[in-house]
Amino acid sequence: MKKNLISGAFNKVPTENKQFVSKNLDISQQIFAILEEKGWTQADLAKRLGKHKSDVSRMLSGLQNLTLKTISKLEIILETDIILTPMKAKQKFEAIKYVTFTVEVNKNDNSIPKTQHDDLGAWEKSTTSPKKIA
Amino acid sequence: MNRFAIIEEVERFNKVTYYTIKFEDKDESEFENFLSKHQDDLTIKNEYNDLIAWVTIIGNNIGAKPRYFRQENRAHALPPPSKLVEIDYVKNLRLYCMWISESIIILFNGAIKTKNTAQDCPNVKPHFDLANKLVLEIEKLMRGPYKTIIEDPKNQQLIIDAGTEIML
Repeated sequence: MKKNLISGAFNKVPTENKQFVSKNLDISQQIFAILEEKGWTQADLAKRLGKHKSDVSRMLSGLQNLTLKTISKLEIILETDIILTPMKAKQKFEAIKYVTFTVEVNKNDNSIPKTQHDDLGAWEKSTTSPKKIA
Repeated sequence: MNRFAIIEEVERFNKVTYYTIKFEDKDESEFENFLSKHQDDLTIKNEYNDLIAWVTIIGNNIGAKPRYFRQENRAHALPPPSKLVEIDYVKNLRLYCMWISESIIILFNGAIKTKNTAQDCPNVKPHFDLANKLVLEIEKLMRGPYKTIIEDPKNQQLIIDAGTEIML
């Protein structure tokens, strides 16, 4: 009976609440990742937003109902997308295609001239970039 | 007069195992009591459901990252931050806990906070005080000379010596 109370509690949460918190935490996690990449603290973000650090904490708690306006403002300050619809993501990443290839040189083949790096065990650096296909 | 309690497992999720405390003189554990008191309260329906959803999603997907737990003296509290004044929320539901690691949390009890500080609020103060006492005693059992409670991060669990009780 007692165990039912707890498992019941977790199972009875409406899907709407789960979706809201899940999306909110996704956004929060994304912002934290961007902050880490930029080497910013929450205080740095708060300063740029013109808010208190506690306001930023609240924003990133995963339970604040962030408006699209707030998210847009954050995207401008962070200089990157926080949310991207599947359609937009597809458009963005489909536009870039790369071809990569690995070149292996046989070190025992004396017909290939040695470079100054060979003794250090390094390969000669390619002077050409991967070919970009539009 | 001393009170005695044991640690019970609440739920094991993919990334977090939640525990709670049960006093010998009570039928419900602290977390069960929190659920019983608030699950049917329509005035905090959204807050309550979001909080439980939060516990689940942190447990399954994200892990108990410290940034999501607000410091309350020695204890911690959910949800972060201290004050939620948002479109859907009318009141300020608070659940106290002990953060042990990103994979182990002990959930205590809580209530609706009606004042600016926990110490000033007649609803949450008893839970705030109890949470802090419990944290102190559990830390003694984990880090004291006998170490009757050991964290096993590899298996996402606490290893508790049989008969271990928390004494308040």
